[in-house]
Amino acid sequence: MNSFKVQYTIDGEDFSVAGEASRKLKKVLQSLGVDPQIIRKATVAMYEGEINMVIHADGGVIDAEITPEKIHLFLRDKGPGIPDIALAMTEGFSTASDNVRELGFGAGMGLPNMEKYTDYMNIITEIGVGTTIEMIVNTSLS
Amino acid sequence: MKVNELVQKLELEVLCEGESFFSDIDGCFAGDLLSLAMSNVRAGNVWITVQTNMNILGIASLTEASCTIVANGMNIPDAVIEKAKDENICLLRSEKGMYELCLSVGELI
Ligand SMILES: Nc1ncnc2c1ncn2[C@@H]1O[C@H](COP(=O)(O)OP(=O)(O)OP(=O)(O)O)[C@@H](O)[C@H]1O
Ligand SMILES: [Mg+2]
Repeated sequence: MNSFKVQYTIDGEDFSVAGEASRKLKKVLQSLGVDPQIIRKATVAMYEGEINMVIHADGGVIDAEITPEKIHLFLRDKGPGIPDIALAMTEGFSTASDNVRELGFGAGMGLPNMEKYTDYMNIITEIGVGTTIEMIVNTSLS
Repeated sequence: MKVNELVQKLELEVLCEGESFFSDIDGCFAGDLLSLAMSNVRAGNVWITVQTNMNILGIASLTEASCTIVANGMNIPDAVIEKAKDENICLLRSEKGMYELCLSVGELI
């Protein structure tokens, strides 16, 4: 398998298609013959990140690079930024609005899930500028 | 047990058969918080929820749930049913509440 790159634009307005990019990535990974367990980890992490971009940051861009060794995800948004990363990473912490909570979001489990399901995660954020989240899921079974 | 057999036994309403209607059920998860469902619904699971918005379809397809049962006869928007059909996702409904559904599913699978 050669390295494979794909980019998804995340619409921050349209809730009904939220998760679409994760579904597309999943299809790509399946077609590349990636192990189902690895696909699950990558898609759960990407879905949570994608939804966060929609509900907290008005959309953005996700770049995925798939190599024989790893799935590398870059999620970039121009949203409000995260004031306190440690707090945001705490299970149960959420600033989701009532509207969004009614839809079943806002458990404050997204970021913790992203960390749990990836082998590496790094958040770079600046207030008023945006947030970039880098995640790696290793595909080589070491 | 297969999804179609569960449908018969529990008299579930079929809103969309989807691609997994004749496939095997393996386990169950009940819950309405989407990020919890996302990380807990396993491939082949029955997922029981009272959520009815579009995002349940994203969870159902990404987790590869064998079927999603909407409990308490909750009203499901037409657009969600249409989308389930487009995406071939098995979407079911019951008048029973989550507790009763869990008990019955637990006995059957
Ligand atoms: N891309 C982002 N931009 C700005 N803030 C964010 C972003 N992602 C997360 N946050 C902040 O971090 C908090 C925690 O995020 P997390 O995904 O864990 O929970 P949630 O989205 O609120 O609920 P859940 O993911 O369980 O539905 C959010 O409520 C929000 O305040
Ligand atoms: Mg979230």
